[in-house]
Amino acid sequence: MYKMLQCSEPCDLLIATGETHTVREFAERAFEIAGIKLDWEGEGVTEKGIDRKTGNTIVEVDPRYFRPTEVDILMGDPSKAKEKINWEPKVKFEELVEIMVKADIDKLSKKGEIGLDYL
Amino acid sequence: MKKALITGITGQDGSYLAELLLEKGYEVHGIIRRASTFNTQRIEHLYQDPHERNISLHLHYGDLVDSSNLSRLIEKIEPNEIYNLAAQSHVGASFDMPEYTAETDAIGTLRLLDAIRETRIDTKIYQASTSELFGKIQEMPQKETTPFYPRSPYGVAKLYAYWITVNYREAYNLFACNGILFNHESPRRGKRFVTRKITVAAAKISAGLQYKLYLGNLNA
Repeated sequence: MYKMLQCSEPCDLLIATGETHTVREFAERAFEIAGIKLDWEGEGVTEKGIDRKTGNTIVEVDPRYFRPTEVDILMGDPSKAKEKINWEPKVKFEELVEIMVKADIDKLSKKGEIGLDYL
Repeated sequence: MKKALITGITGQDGSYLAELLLEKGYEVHGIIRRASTFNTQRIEHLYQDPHERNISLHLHYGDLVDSSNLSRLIEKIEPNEIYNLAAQSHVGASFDMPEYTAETDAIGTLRLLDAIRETRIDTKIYQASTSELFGKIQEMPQKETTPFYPRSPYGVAKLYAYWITVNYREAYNLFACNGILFNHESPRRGKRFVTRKITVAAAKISAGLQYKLYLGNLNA
């Protein structure tokens, strides 16, 4: 954002990694970092994520989170940003999930909670 | 010393940007919405007591739905750079609050651009655009030249904001840029966004403090 405003001419740039990942992949990776292996069973709204070790169902699909219209799989090409402002992604998917999960584990162990959200 | 004005300074991106600009020696001004619930957690560590001298972070009450407030702030601060990061930024919530989303994300951007035009200050503006503009994709991968096809009230509102930014650049020779950001996540992501909802749940479930995580479309 800062770099874009330091350009000699104003322009519109796309900022992306050039990768694409699903919510499913994000969940698998996040639980893995927290020490839980997820196995998926079923399909569609009845699909469940099961903790391989305990056999407990820990992930379920709730159609109330479905959107009336969904976007397709998005994947951006950041080459113009590289060319114009020399921007490149430093942190990609795997590392990002790890940073986020570890930060939440850390917050939980220090404060005993992360905060409540009801929606 | 350069001055920057950040709308949305209390959010994920605004708080990181404020850190960066303060590090670079900017005087940073942020607009915060008045709310009965506390909403400045993400910038708590940057807060400076306004009673001290020579402080570099200043917070102002304001809102993208209030034109006169925006004009007054811009006139008073005279920022060299404006970053418009304020928005109703939740795609799912935009289906529940489409009008409010349009009011803030679309017309709010116009209000800000018009405030710059009216006050005639010499400034640059960054508009937070989004990959949601591509929605139903017309090309893979998406580039700056890919046609837009938004698929939510949020995306449609941001489409207006994108084009009005381009229009003001072309019509009034304003230094205005759109950053089309794809998903960008961090430990400061709001807990109602899917990535953070998942990482919080992973932490809590592994600690035995939560039993289940409910998600929407797993293939999104």
